[in-house]
Amino acid sequence: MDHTRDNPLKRFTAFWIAILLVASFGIACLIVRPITHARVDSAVKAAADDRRAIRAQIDSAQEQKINRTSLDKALQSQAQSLLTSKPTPVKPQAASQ
Amino acid sequence: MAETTSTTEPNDVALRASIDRSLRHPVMFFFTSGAVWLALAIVLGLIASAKKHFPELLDCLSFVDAGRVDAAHLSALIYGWGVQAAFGMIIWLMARLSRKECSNAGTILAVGHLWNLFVMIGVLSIMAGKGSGIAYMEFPIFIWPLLIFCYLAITIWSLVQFQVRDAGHVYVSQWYLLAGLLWFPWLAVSAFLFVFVFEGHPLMATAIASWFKGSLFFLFFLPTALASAYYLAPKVTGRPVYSYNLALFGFWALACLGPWAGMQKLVGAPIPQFLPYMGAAAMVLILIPAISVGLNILKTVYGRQEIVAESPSLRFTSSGIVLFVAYGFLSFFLHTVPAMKMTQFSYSGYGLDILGLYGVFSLCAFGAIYFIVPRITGREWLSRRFISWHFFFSLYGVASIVICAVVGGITQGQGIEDVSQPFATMASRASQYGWGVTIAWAFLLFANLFFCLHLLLMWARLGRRSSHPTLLKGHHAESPHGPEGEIDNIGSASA
Repeated sequence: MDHTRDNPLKRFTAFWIAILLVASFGIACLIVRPITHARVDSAVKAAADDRRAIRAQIDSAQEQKINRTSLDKALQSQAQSLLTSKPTPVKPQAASQ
Repeated sequence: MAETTSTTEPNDVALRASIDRSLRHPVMFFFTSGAVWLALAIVLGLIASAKKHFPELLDCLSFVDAGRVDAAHLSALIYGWGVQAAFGMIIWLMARLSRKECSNAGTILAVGHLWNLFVMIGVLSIMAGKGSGIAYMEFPIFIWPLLIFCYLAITIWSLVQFQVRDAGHVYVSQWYLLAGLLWFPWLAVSAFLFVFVFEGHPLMATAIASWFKGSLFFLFFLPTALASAYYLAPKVTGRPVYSYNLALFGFWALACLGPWAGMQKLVGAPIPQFLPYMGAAAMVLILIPAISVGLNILKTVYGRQEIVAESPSLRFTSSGIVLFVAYGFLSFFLHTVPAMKMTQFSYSGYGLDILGLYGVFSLCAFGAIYFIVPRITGREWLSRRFISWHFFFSLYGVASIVICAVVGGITQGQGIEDVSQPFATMASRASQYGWGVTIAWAFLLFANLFFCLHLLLMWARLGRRSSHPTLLKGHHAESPHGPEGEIDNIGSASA
């Protein structure tokens, strides 16, 4: 038996090398992660930015078409009529139906 | 027990016996608990297969509905049986080849119990509907770090043994063992982080899960099986390995091709198109290591057909290697572009998976178990008949599963492609082959109940006390090993 190759120090070193080797797989994944995610996100983000730009154009076009003053007047008159009308109780039979 | 009759130095005999004694409990624990998991996996496989063509079966029991029982079956087969059988083979082979006793048997045994506990929790969680839903990684997320920790605590001692081995030749088996030992944590850690931990794009998580599924066989189960084959073929026949260069070529071919396999299942998915086709190319080219390994092992045993027929370990191992060559050819044909169109969503992939896991890995593992167990228990196998039944039912069972699944899968694929036919026609065509798969699982169940019972009896040290190896033939009037008689443990461990 070759005792120069097998001693407690050699075993201790081999143990920690093995641990580090396995840990290095996880560390490599952590290093690779931002690179891979940046690529994926940029493609998705580019498409999302285009969609947002189209959405902003539509929103502004709609805003221009809406006449806020006449809309407010219409809503006011509707609100007034609701305020002046008296609530009527609902009959239990009708409610159950 | 001694399958070779070479004379050995007394010190060498004593060293081997002491190595066997040091590993008796953990190795027997992994083999027997693995065998119990295998029986359970086959029962679940039987139910899963039956539910594919007879969905009303056990439909009152939600925990065995089709999705859950199929996932539980494959998880029990891989992590209950496969990985534990591999643990037993790895720690015994590495200790023997490094010529080092195991000084951490207690730790390995304790962590082996934990492994079983976590696998049991995982399988029960799947059946309770708490699985992750990702193929081959079906256990709940919290189980994976625990299993990776257990794997390290079990196998790290084998890496240490290799590092402190006596100076000299590194055997072919040791290349495969070392590679398998390191490839598994690489696969498991990478897949766990990218699938479950990092919030990446779900499509790429699917691709990585698919890569894990494909590579697990090539980078862990196959190297372990080949390490055993490269150990047993020369050992039992008493010949050197046929060609060292061919062994080296086969190893590096597997190392270069194996990591690319897996993503071929995602052809047509919105991922970079080179990835699935690279996977398909790797699956086609896997024929190269299959032929080189097959040629090397079979040429090593060539001319010793009588030993192959008589020795249980060599018979199982040689069959496993022949099935590996068959796996290479089948993989070649199933991953050409026209075939992939037809088989992508069919039973064929399942047939190929079972050919790898059961036909190649498990047969080689059975061969190793029939060789190792008498040496570590100091007892011989009780029944030749049990071993013969185990062999023939296993072989016929796995061949039937593969033929039915592949032919049925191609028929199914043709039906899917034929848009002029209603979908139900395709399903009814495939169900005929589904019956075949279910009956084949019943054969395997029958085979493995005998194997499990036999192994449990050996674990209880109820085997024969004999100086004769268990050979699959009738006794001669005069045995070359001398008269029947009791043996001591050193004698039993001498071969």
